[in-house]
Amino acid sequence: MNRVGFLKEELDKVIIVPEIHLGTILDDDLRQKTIDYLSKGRVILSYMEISTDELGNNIAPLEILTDGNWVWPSYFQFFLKRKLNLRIDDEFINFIRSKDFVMDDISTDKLKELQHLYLNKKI
Amino acid sequence: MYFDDLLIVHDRNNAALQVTQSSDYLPFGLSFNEYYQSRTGSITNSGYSQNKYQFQGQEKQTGFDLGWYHFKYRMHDPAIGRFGMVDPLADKYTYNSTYAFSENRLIDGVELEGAEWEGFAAGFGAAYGPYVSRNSDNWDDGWFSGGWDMFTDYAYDKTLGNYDKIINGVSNKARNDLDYKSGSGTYSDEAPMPQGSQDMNYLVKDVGAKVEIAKGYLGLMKLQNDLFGVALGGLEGSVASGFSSMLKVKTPYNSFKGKTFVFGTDKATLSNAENVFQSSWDNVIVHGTHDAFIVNGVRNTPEQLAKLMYSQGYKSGTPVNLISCYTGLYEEGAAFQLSQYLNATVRAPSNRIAVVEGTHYFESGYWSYSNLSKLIK
Repeated sequence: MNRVGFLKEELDKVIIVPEIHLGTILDDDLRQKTIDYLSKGRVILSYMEISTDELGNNIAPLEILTDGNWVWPSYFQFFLKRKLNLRIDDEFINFIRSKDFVMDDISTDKLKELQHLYLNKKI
Repeated sequence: MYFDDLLIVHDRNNAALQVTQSSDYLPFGLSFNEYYQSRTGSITNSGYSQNKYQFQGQEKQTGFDLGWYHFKYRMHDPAIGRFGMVDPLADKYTYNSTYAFSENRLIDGVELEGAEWEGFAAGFGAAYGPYVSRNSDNWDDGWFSGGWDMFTDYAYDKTLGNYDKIINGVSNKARNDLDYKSGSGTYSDEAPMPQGSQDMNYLVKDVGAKVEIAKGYLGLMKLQNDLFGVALGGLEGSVASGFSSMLKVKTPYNSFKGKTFVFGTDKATLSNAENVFQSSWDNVIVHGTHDAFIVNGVRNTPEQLAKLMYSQGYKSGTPVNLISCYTGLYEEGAAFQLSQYLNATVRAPSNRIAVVEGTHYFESGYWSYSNLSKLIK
């Protein structure tokens, strides 16, 4: 289980930290496909927090999403749309490419297990 | 290699990098190979002031050519490798020479304030010591899940022989103590770092509020199929940019489960509302910040939220579980202010909170309590 798209967070502010994002810069087509893929993620945890960007603008309620193999925060898509030069983990891009941008079904049991792992900081 | 100090000073009149001061130390701190360039002859440059914070970052007292280091509690003479005064904790640590510097243990630690040795090497409390405050696992946690934890520090409790984590000025021990006292107490950010074991009662002031550590979420997790049966579906489209359209909804506030007040119609709020469990306290579920509440993208002050609650049938004085991130972070933050308008005790998280069925999940946070008695005091 891997994490992707988590940026530096200070209280409710999410801050871009370029150094931790070494990887691919996406072209338009790939970016859109990635965003579509991320939007299909299943929720494993919903916080009572609205993430805000570095300027304090609301982004979205903070949720932790998964496709069964990767875990990402709900603000990931936002930054992917807005920050065109955001670098994405190669491994993640290769993974969703290999899946042809189609998300596997996740069973409820699997989601429970993932939530358990996440809550115990094992993810 | 342990670097005691490295100071880089930019000189606007001289672009070239140059070393103006350096020193090597013998194990007990006696300097050798000392070098200090003082430039006082130039009109344009008034010279470099000497950095006096040298061995282990302590101030070197150069008056009368003493060359002693000023630790918080005692003066250390590096020439003889001993303190010049008796250990203030000597009666507790009879195994130790009363004048010994750093408990004569120089390889894997430093002197802490003239009172005791403190380790920094990996392998000794690697996750806890201030010099190696995070091992690689914790590094990931700190970096990815919450940023560096600005409010976390550590104190060494000699009587327990282990490190005690201090969060917002309250140690685990203090919080645990508070758990068992149903009475009161609160943390204070101004309180000095606890020393030894006398600290906790000092930190815990009797002002009618208490803190409690989050625990016990293991084994209680049950997720509901229907919640996960719904894919998120275009986050930014449906939620972020949807804020403006949601504002047009005339009755965005709803409440269900009796004494649970739910403000907001986004999925995160609803799924938390679905999982919440009812006690004799009222629950309030709303997105929060340290000083305000966000209802469907609109910022509400604590006063505005209180009005909304009254309009939904809240009875003044009923204690409230405020399930809203960060609202209990500051002593006079959102939860405290809300408690003033509700005339009631408000229990709120200091960090992120999510309700998973049967329990509240904190991300390294805890409940903090606010009520009127703080003001009265």
